[in-house]
Amino acid sequence: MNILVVEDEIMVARNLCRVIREILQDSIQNLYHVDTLDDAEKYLQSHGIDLLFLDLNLCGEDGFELLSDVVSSNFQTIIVSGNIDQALRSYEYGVLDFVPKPFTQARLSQALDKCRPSQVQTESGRGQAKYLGVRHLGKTLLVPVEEITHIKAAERYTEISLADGKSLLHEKKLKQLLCVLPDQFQQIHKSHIANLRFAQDIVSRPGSSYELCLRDGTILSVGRKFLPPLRNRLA
Amino acid sequence: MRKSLTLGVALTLIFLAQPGLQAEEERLPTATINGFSMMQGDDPSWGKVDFDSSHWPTSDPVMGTTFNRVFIPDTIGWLRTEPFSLPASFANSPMALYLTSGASFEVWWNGVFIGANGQPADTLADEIEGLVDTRFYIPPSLIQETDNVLALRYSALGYSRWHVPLAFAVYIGPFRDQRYNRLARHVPALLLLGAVGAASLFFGALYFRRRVDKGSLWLALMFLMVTFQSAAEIFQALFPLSHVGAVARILLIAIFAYGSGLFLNLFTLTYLRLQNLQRWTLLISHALVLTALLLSYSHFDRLTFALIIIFVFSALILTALGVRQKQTGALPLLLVLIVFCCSFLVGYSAFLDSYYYAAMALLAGTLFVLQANANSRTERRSAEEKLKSNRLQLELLKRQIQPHFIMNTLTALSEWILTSPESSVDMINALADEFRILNQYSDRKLVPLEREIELCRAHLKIMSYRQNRSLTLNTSVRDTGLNVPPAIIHTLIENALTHNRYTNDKSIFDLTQRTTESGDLEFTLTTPVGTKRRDWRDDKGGGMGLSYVRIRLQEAWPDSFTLTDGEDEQGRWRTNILISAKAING
Repeated sequence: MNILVVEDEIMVARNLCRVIREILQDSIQNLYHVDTLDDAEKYLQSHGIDLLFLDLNLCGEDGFELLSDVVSSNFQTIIVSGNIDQALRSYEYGVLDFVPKPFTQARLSQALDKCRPSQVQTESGRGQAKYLGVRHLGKTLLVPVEEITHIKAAERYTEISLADGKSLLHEKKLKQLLCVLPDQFQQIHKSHIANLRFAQDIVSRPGSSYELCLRDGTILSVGRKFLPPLRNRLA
Repeated sequence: MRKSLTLGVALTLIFLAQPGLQAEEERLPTATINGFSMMQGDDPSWGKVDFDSSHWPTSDPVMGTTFNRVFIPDTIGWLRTEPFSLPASFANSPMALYLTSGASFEVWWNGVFIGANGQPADTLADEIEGLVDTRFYIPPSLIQETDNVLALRYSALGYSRWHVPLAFAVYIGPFRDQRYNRLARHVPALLLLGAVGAASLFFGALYFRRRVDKGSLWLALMFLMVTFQSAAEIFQALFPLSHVGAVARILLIAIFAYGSGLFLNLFTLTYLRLQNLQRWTLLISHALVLTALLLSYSHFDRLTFALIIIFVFSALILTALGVRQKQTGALPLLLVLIVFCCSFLVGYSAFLDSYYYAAMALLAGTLFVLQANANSRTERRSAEEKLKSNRLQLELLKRQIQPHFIMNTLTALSEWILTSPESSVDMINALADEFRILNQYSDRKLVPLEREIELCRAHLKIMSYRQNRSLTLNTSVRDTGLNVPPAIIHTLIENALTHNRYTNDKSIFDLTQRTTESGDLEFTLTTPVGTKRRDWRDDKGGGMGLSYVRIRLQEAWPDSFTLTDGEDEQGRWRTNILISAKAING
């Protein structure tokens, strides 16, 4: 796992890196620390990461603008901050976790569990995001998750379809998105996530294949292994 | 404003009703005598009807025709009127002769002795003092339609010691209680006495309770003077006075008029915040007062009139200045003072006897409303200041327990505990120091500079541990016992740390304090060169920090400081606080 820590408090950063190393041990490929956002941007231009630890003092709107940028990227973000007032709003913006300072190893371990591949088992969304930051034409849009009907995997990206018929590309993969989206989002196929608020019916097709009809007329294939949990959710 | 206008209208009505009172008096048949012939010496024939006094010098009528100024004889003298007529109706009802004078005298009506006031005599020892206001019954048999002659045998040896002119006021009319006439004339003064006396107590109590607004004190004193003046005026109506009492009374009236005028001016200066003109105002008005005193020493009524004119005009000019400066309440006050000045036109006798009270009632009412409003404004402002001060204390404490500071400190501390327990103990001590000092600070407006420096050092120590770099404060301070508002240097240092990153191993902050040539106090805080953080870090906090410093400085030294900042030639950020010598010493 490649991890970047953005923290300008040296002693805090040391503490954080040490604890992360203790938790992840060998599964860390690379753990890098920078002091400033500028340095972080430079690092990200030349390095891919899986996880960003960000100390964000989310005072004012600037902090959230930055946050919506960060969450539109193809890595997960964990906020480490002393200001827990902003925790809820951070979750709504789609961060994986919000770890209050001062942190313990147990709490950090819990946050890291959320993005370890082995731990990602269920098919429902496990996050609390109310918006999804999406980069579009050089800008970051904040899309309300309520407007997303379904999401399709598309090579390195995912394609997000909205209720008004538009679609947008997101840098995160399906599994990563499931970590931050709320539980009304259900994986129904290895390359489909549907917003169950828009689900209408499950239809069986010849050859014992199944499809999910959405209210806007979209038809999505349902994977065999995803059918029982989907039926449960729709019952 | 509206309230004061309403009051103004009400008082103007009283003002207008005033001539009405006089009119009623005038409906009764009366007669006055226009002048006397005067002669020093004593001859019984001078009291006779048929004596020809046409070669005697005549008296000088003053105050219209009511008062006739007569000379003061060295011994006994005589006064005689020209033959005069009386209305026919006078024969049908009891009539009286009313005389007002400081002399002792005998009254001869158509050659018949009808009474005496005291006992006139050739020597002071023999003279018996009379009353100032007297009344003599005129037997109906003595009243003729034409050719009445009044003769007075008088002496004023006691009175002459006052060195003031002697006059006789003569008035013939229905026989009735003299006090009725007097009281009727003094109704406005009576009304004013009660109201202004109460107002004086009210403002006096207000001032001595809080001792904040001098305006209340001046107004209380002015109202007290007006109360005394009205009381002195009414005294004559209620109690028979000898000439000693009468002279003392008009002297007192002049003194109280001076007092009320002086306090009116002091109030106007305070109320309109024109204290810088106080010296000049008092100088000029007193020069005029002195002139008036020299010109009308022997005539207290005129002096009183002059004093009132001087002070009211002086207040009028000040108020006009206030109107130009758009001061609250200056305009209604100006209007009322103009009305007041118009009443001078009635002449001093009518003014002092009646119009003064109406004009003063109007003015007093207006001043009452203005000062009451000013008091409520002061009260509100002081409540707001208290609130602001409390908010500052709260903000100071809140900044120390704000999550960003405390949580980062604790996280860094936990790292130190694991890696260097000794350092962590030192860090905990510094944290304890900072909190201890801030806790002592929280309810103070000024703290010793020494403590402030201790606080800054404790904070820098914590930050040094957090950043694992040395951050120190060098001071060049002459007077560590000097008092400064709490946490201002601390806030500036905190601000610098919030907005900059200091990546050198050693960073030194520098605080200097010096006294400039003009005696002003100057603090300069120079922060080390660092790299600016991107604004997202703590944008809001920085601006708030500086405004905290400003508010604290304003609270300690209102409008007597300047706060400037900027980069110096070496790229260091320098904040300069200059406090004027006057504010420090005052």
